[in-house]
Amino acid sequence: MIGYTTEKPFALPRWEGQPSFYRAVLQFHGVAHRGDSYEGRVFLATPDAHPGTPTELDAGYAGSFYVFGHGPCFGDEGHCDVSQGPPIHHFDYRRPHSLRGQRMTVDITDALRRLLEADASEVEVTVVPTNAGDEDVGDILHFERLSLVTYD
Amino acid sequence: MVSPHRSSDESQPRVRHRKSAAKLRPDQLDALREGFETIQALSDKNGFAFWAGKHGAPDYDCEHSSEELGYDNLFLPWHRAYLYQLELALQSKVAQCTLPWWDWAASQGGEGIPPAFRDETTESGGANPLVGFSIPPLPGNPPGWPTGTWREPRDPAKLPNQQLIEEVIEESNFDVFSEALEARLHNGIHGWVGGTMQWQATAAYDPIFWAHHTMVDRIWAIWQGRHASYGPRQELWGEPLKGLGLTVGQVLDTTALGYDYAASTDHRKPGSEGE
Repeated sequence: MIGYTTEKPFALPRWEGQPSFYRAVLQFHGVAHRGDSYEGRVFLATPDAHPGTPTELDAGYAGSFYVFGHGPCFGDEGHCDVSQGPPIHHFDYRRPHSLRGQRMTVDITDALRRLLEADASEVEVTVVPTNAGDEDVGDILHFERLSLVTYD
Repeated sequence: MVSPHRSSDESQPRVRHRKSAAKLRPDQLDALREGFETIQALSDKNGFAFWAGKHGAPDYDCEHSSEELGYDNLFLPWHRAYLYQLELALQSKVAQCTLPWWDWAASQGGEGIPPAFRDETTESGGANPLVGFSIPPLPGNPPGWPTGTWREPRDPAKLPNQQLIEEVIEESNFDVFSEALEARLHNGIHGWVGGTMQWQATAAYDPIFWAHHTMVDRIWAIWQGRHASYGPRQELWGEPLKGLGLTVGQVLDTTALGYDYAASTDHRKPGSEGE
């Protein structure tokens, strides 16, 4: 398994005298979806999480995102190459390449509140890629950016 | 909204009901199987392989979410039009066919893939065309292209429960709802079934794909009723849906496409045993 843990923890969103958030989400930007389908299990403050770790709040589990994989490339050479540039000219009305990165949102409200109640000041996020059979799916988790967003 | 074309001799068009795959009457299930078996044998543009190949290989016309700025997510409209086209292909061969929906939440407590799509043989002992499909070769014979569908279904307890589905439907913002329906529910089911269903390139060749997406479409229809909104913003209604000959505006209202959702149906006419 090649998972992911934040190199620098997020500071927990806490402001004295201000209302707490009613919703907190993690947004994964630019998630790759080239190969098999998989589940990204998100754990807070659990850097040693693995596919067998229970998906329960007590075990640090916060939620999951699910990727529908493109599968192997069955096209000709270059079929799965994603152009990084703009449309080729002003009159190019085609939709973007289907292998552009996706955004995945995971609601972590309950898990984050639990950490705040335990007086934590920061949080590490760990993502465990696996499948519905709790199996190791190897090097499949790739994304560009991770954001912690709260709403009050 | 722009209405799809209707034949002029239909003074009172009849809206058909899509039903739960677990609640089909025997004659309804027989019609569905006959429809699939018939179009699975066709190799032209009326055939199952032609339509399956629009989602994944070789055409890859399908729409899923993307972060590309300036482009809206057409996941729900595209797949509604896609279901409509396959249902028409079925009905052109067996008139009473409608696509059934796979109620994941009901399956969560028990048997997973509905027996109609899982049992290898029919009640009469014939091969069940809803369990899989022999996939024809692609031009160029790319390495690894499967010759048939297969599944590796997991523990049914891992399917979405009704509470999760309700949470998604309760979301009032259409874009947030669409993303949640796709990423929290739809994507996970593709992975749960596994095999060729877990790849966008091959998923639509498996008949269970169509029951899965009919459930996705049903959830959108429920959302539309509950929030009194079609969903996609009006500026999008003229947007064409790639490869399907329809625009977003033409697929917003299920009844304008000739169908609605019911759990089950049973009809009677005076002097007959049913429909």
